[in-house]
Amino acid sequence: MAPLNKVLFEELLADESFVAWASGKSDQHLFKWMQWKNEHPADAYTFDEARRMVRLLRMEGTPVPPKEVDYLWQKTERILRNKTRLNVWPHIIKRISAVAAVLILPLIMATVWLLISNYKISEELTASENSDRVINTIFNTQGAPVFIDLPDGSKVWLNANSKLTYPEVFEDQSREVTLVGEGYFKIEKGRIPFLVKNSGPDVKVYGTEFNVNAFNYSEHTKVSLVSGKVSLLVDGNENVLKPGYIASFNKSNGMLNITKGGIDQEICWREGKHILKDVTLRELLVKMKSKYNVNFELKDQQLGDYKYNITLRDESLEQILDLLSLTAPIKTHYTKPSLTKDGTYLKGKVKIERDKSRSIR
Amino acid sequence: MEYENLQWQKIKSGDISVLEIFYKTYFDDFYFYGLKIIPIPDLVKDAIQDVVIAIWEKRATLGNIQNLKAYFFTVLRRTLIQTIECDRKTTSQHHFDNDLFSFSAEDFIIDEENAAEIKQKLKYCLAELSPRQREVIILRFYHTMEFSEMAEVLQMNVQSVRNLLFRAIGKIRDHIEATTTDTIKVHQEVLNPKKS
Repeated sequence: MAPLNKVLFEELLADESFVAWASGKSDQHLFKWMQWKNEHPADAYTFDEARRMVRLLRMEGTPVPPKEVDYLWQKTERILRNKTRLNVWPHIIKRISAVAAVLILPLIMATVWLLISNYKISEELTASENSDRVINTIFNTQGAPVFIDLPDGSKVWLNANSKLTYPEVFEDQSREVTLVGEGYFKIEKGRIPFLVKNSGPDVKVYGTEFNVNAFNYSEHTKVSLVSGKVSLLVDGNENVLKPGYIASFNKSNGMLNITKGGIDQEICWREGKHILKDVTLRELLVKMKSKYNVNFELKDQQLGDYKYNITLRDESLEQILDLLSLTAPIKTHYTKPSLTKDGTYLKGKVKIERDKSRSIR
Repeated sequence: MEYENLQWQKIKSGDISVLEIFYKTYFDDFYFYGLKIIPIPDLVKDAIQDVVIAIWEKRATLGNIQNLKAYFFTVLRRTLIQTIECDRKTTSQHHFDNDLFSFSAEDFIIDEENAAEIKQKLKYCLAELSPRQREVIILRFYHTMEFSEMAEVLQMNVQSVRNLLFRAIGKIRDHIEATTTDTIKVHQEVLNPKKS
């Protein structure tokens, strides 16, 4: 085997972009390094060895559950706020004995009631030593958007299958809400930054209109800016977004992509319109399953790959099924939801199979 | 980096929300690093809390911190190591030294053929390194720190960190090669029977 070029070996291992690529943490530098390897055929062995070394030393830590991190922060913050007020100087290092900590859970009382049959509001009372904070959660289980007025005058439209958590009174240091799913935000300008927490990067707002799409089941979170200014907090860095731009965050590799245009597609849900470009049948069925509350059975898996460009308004399920079978060789059979003799509710079901009488190009 | 300096300026001026974001963003990293020094979860969590509080309270006197994350690592390291040393004086346990920055086979993600075997070998060969060498490996490959950051955390100069890292890698390479070369040779002969 060719001897190892020690100098090159060390240079590669000292190079951030090489290590990032070799450890598989990001594809950003893939092209660069493949090109490098092609341009330096004599150093192929050293290159491979360096890569092997990086891969050998890849480690995985089990992340601490976010709830626990939040809890630990709350504990810490309480102490910080106390110290700020009383101006007490701390012990810098104290002896810590290895005793298992006893977690004392705060008392949580949850009261749930239905205000209007369309959406549910739950109220959590968290009692702690120093303060009482009332937190509202609004869960939109119906199809149409739900409108929410926030304590500072900001407005939020919540899409279906989405949840917004916000305090009844905003703290004086930050205006924070947590979103699961999709919401359109119109935020009042203010000195205090507004933060939208979600499963992707935190969205920091300066007074503006924008859309956040962050469903748990999706691999991506998307923030679309209509007007004003927001920034996305990734790894402690602020990535500023300009109006007309969409930031897409990939949850599995942590990469943030900012592209221009396509805002209409992202926000049309507010008007009850759904503009879907280049979606596969499979993806469509996922959306329709929750909107119409039916089960879908795809008899031929290949059919799931058919792509559609489609604008939906308030069509009934049957109308949509007709539309779908217009441009793809599929047959649909819809069984309406029903109540059986012993009172159980059977969901509606749609069978989709290939229409053999129509040929494929 | 400019943003990080801005971050520290905000914290200095009393903005707890920035500190909160910092804490929640890097908590996992601090926790994982701490666990390698002392593998006692609650102790590490308490230490992290102590460091946050100490930094917050002394923020006015701390001057300009260029890299808050590296600084945090430094203070956390000092806090945890002092804990061990205090312990050591009162008890006669000095096994901590060997366990510092210890790795279990399960820590590693390896996708080669003899995955389990290589993991074990790696574990043993890491055990043969000094604690400092193990620490520099984890800072470079898990925390992906740059040399300047590692120098700050380890309180060494950049060249010494480089030497430390590459000596450690050299040892690992030698050890892994020595024990797997035979297997590779056999594979090659099977795949290319005509080549000499």
